[in-house]
Amino acid sequence: MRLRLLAVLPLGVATVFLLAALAAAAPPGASAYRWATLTVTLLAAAGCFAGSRPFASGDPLRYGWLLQSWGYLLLATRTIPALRDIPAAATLAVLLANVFGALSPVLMVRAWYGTGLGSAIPPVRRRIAVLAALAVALILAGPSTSLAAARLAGNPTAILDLIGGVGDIVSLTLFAPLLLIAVAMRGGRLAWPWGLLAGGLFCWLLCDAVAFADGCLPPAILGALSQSLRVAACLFYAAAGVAQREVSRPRESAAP
Amino acid sequence: MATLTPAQCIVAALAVHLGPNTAQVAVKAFAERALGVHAEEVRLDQVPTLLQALRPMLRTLVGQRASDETLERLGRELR
Repeated sequence: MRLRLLAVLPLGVATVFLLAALAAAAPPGASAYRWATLTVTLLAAAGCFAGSRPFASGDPLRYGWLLQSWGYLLLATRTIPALRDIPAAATLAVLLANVFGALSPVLMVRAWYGTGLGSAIPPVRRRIAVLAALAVALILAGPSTSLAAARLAGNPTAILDLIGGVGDIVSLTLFAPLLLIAVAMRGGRLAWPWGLLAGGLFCWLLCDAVAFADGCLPPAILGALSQSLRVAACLFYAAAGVAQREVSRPRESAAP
Repeated sequence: MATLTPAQCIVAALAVHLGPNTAQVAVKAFAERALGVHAEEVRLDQVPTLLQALRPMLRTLVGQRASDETLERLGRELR
């Protein structure tokens, strides 16, 4: 399988989706969006599950990929009508998906540094990149997180928003180490799954950034942009999992 | 044509997965850690020890099957 194609597909599909959504001027919350969200979320869950398959029980990357897969499965349950109408179930699903989504890159980055390859990335570069990503994550997810923290007293659901916000900040901050790892392995096949994961996180970051344009753009355009970025993010995760499986296939039995 | 040293052969094989830069870092780090020598000084009889030291790292990143296959092929080529 051509790994390069896996990088092009999410962007291609998201672009086509954006053009179609703009042409249809579908309002945010349209059923077409819900179906698209369900499809790409399930694809992300399946792709990440595929990424976990080459690893045995006890291998840290197995749990990294599995957590990501479970997170997307939980997000998919939000689109099931019976569950969507139960606010507590929907909130819990988002909460757990956020926790899994934040834990997964932490595990994966820790696994990479645990291999002893850390010296491939100069520490100064690593610190600067993480600080820059943290700053961007705080700008994007900080305001909603601090609002949730302020609402903690007397509002039991605020704790869920707070945990979700913290999860967003953690996972967005981990965009930097994922990208640095992918760059360190450039020229090697492993750069693809790590780079695609970083691409997925970057799309989620942009998805949060689109919320800042609220009021500046018509709701239909805002909805189309946000949904297209969600499609791209989910497909990047799906592609990353498939790339990991492909890379982990023994070369002698790999397709030419 | 210049003959490749054992370390250069291992770097070339690992570069398929890790990329040339990280493959070089890996061989340098593990040669020093497992054998106490610079990568360029690794002798053929030390290759099995070096490959054994590289195994957990490669297994973590690509899984056991691909890791075993890569290292066993390298071991055969450098025998």
